[in-house]
Amino acid sequence: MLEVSNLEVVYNDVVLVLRGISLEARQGQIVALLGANGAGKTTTARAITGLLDVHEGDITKGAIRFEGEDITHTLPSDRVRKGISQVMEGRRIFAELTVDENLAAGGYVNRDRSLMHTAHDRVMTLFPPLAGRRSQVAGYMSGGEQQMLAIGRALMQTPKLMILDEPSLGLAPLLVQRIADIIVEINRQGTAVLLIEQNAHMALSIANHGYVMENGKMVMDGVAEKLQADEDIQEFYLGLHAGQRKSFREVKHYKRRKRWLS
Amino acid sequence: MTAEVMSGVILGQAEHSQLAGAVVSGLSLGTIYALLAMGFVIIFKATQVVNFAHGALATVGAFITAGVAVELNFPGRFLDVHPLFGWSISVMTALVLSALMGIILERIFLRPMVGEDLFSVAIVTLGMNVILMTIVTDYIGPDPRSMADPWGDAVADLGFVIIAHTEIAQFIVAVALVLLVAAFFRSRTGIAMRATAFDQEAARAQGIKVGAIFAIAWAIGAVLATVGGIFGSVYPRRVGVYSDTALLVFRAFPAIILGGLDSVVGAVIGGLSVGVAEALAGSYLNHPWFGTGFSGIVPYLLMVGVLFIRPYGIFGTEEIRRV
Ligand SMILES: Nc1ncnc2c1ncn2[C@@H]1O[C@H](COP(=O)(O)OP(=O)(O)OP(=O)(O)O)[C@@H](O)[C@H]1O
Ligand SMILES: [Mg+2]
Repeated sequence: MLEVSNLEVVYNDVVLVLRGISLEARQGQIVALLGANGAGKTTTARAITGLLDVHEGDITKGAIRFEGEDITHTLPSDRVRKGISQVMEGRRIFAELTVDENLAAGGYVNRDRSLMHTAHDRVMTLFPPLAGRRSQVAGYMSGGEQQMLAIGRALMQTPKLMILDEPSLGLAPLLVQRIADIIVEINRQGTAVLLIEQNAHMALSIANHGYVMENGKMVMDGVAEKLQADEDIQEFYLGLHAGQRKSFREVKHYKRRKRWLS
Repeated sequence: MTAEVMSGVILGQAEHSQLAGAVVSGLSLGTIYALLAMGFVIIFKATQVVNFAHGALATVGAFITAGVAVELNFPGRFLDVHPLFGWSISVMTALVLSALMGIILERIFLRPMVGEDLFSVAIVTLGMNVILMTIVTDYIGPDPRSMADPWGDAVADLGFVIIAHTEIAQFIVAVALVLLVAAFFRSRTGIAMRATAFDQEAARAQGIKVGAIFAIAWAIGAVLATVGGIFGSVYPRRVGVYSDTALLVFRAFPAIILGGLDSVVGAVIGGLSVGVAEALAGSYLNHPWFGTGFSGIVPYLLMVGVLFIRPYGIFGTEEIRRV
């Protein structure tokens, strides 16, 4: 369904951030994209949704195909129309708008009223906490509710493929599990998922397939169970072996906390 | 001061209330400020452009109206209809042209500046202002151009106060426009504009075409400026559009700051309060001690006073977020 091949991305004409990565998201599946801070996960998501230009980023090589069509250089709005939605890193909800207005903004490309209605109902069913807050200003909601809203907003586009960029970021373990369940449900209802995560444990527990990125390169890829069992993965991302890597993880942990606060 | 107030009543307006008179002319001035401020704020919020050419938009818009209504004599040359109906068509035509002007200006001057800092973009609008004002001043010539409105200097005497027909029209139009703008911000496109104003990148991620939103914001801004310019160029203000119509916007500036640079509601309330304050000062503070034209600086005094208490204006957001 989505094929990224040999993608190279450069920021500001000089910083080479993606060094020829390839990945594939398949119909009906959840695919996890794992990697440490700065590996290039968000950049990959931006390339797929066409939002590199805001960041002075350019695709210098490679191609992105969606359902057989080359979309490497198409407009973001066209990609949303074709069925690719993104839940951005850091939620990025429209804090000054109400919950319903956020959802309306999400459904902007969707001109069909009855389709909008169905999509809205679906969001309300999936996220009961939002149903009671429809006219509440979104910025005053809790982090978990905001993440639900961010996912709901993307669902308003009735996507074929949903890209989620670190949806577990800054959420308490219980909420992380809840988000994971919701992703599984969305996938079960027919949307393919590309799940970008640093929480490898959560991601691999629900994914069919996983990719691991490091410094703009794919370093590993395989069936989720296999990755879960992999020693390196366990050491780097699942935190099963403490030891000389401990300091590295602490740094990572610190950064995650900081972003949660900001 | 008390003596002056008394004498004002005794001398001029025995049967009319001086206070009511001042409030009416203040509100009438205030709606012009409010229209100008609203357009300015919509452009600023949606596109992050501080538009120093807003006065030029008002002037050019009013000039276009004069051009359509008088020079082109449209629709008068084809249709023999009621003057009010005919003039409304002239104005509608002028508003469409103004909207186009806004869209074209944005596309040519400001689209290339997307991503540049607020200051550089503001400089571009200053340049735009010079260009527009040079062209339009050249065309207008030394004499003001008439708006050819159907009301002229007709007034209605309500007993306690005298009100010009233009002012009645202006109140109706301004209220209608404020309601329209409010309704727009609840529509699909309006919500998309507010989303864009808040976070451009996130808006684009929803498939919103930010460029189209910019164009719409400029169209709305130009239309509101034109309406402000028109009402600033009829009785009881300067009769006709002239290059100093642009100064109206400078006088509306305190209203913008007062309401909060990024609040549409604030622009309306700021506009009205500045207008009323100015008119009250003009009516009551005419002791020689204040000198002439003291009312002209009242808006600025009000602005400074409010900023002392609320640095972001009455309705402004505390931090103006940027992506
Ligand atoms: N706008 C930009 N200009 C220049 N370099 C950038 C820009 N955005 C990201 N980078 C760099 O590109 C690299 C990859 O960043 P990216 O955000 O894609 O990583 P990530 O895997 O999403 O990391 P994280 O887990 O922290 O979100 C980093 O080294 C980052 O500093
Ligand atoms: Mg990232």
